[in-house]
Amino acid sequence: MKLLQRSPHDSDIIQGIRAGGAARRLHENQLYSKYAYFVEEGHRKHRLSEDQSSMAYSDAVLTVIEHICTDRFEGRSELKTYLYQIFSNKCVDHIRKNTTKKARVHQADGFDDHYMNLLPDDTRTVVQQLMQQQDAELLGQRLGQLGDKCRQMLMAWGEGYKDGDIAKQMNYQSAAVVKTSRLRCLQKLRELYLKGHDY
Amino acid sequence: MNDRIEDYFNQNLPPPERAQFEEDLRQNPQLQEEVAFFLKTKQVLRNQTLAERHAEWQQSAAPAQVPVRRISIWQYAAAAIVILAMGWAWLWLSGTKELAGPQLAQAYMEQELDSLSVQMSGAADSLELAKDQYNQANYNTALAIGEDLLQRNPNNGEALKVAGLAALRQQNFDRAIEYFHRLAGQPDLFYNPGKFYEAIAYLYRNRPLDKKAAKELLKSVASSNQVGKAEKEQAKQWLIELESQ
Repeated sequence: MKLLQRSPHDSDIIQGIRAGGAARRLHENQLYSKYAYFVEEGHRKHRLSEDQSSMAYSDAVLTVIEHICTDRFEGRSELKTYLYQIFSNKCVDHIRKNTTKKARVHQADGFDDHYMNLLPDDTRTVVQQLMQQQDAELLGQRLGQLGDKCRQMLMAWGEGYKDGDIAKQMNYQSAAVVKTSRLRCLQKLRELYLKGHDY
Repeated sequence: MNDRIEDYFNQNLPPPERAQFEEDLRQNPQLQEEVAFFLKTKQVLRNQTLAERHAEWQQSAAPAQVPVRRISIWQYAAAAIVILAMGWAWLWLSGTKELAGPQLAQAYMEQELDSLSVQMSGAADSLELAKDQYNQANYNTALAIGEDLLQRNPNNGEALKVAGLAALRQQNFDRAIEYFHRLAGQPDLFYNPGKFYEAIAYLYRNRPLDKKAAKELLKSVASSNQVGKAEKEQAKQWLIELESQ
């Protein structure tokens, strides 16, 4: 009886996502469903439209998944609390986009500032400026022009799958082979991109 | 594509190679462009993944929103009995969906104050060492180094910040509040998150008058020019959440 089905424990969800493999997707979906009521809170508290609140929630869930996979979520707070904090931040990002013209150049546009913060202070600005000059739309198109294997591999990497997992899913010999192939794909993408862009 | 880029962002480079990479990044425009491309690609992949997953989640959630299931009277009655019988236990276990102050503070710390930016100058600097210890979750050592620095220079803003955060991590609230209060009192700092951190410490400690103290501090932070935009927004958001509790 569906009514009496228990929602999965957070620890099981975390473990399932960390374990990777085919079951990872199932646990990701469980995480999404378990706290989907946050969407209503975003709508009510932050006065976002339902679409925006729902997108903020998907974005937050994806971020939490990334943090679980990369061990940035260390379990010092509850999963619910952690997700709620990120969801609130995403809602605030949407409010800013609604109210500020700067939204077009908003650095945190779905992207994790974590990587930028790893750079030394005196190089961050130049890297940010270069990123703003780069054309996301063209890059997306070039990604579509890569071979299926390359695209799949890069997408899986973008989702935070470890090279070992990608090797299993795509029948590569080892994680090391995946890493080499993936970096080659990235290089190929760069060459394709530079052909179509005066840089 | 330079192989070091990924290792750098995965924090897999040993310290000397990391410092060398950062030095190269300062000098080499080609490397700067490659790093920007690496991050931009990650960003584009991330956005594509989000679009795909969002569509997928929306689709799987959609049938649940259509209330067409027919349920007979006896099923309603059975459900009501079960709910009544389990009422107290259910209420006890489910708690409230609103997040209380300590949870807000804990989540913020884990999300935003998990690591402090360390300058990779290679120089032996106590402050950088304290931050490094903090980043490695050696809060005892970070606190000890911070306090040692403060004995020599009681008004060192960065030392007050690191010592306060390390104390807070150990749930040594009184000491954390003292350091953040002293930091907030530093008049010459262009950027001063003292009040903001003090509010976090009060929220985390959660004694009877702490919520009120935190709210006063957050109000001040929300209109302050001494903190960043993110902290101001966070303060405003918490004020809304604390008001609704």
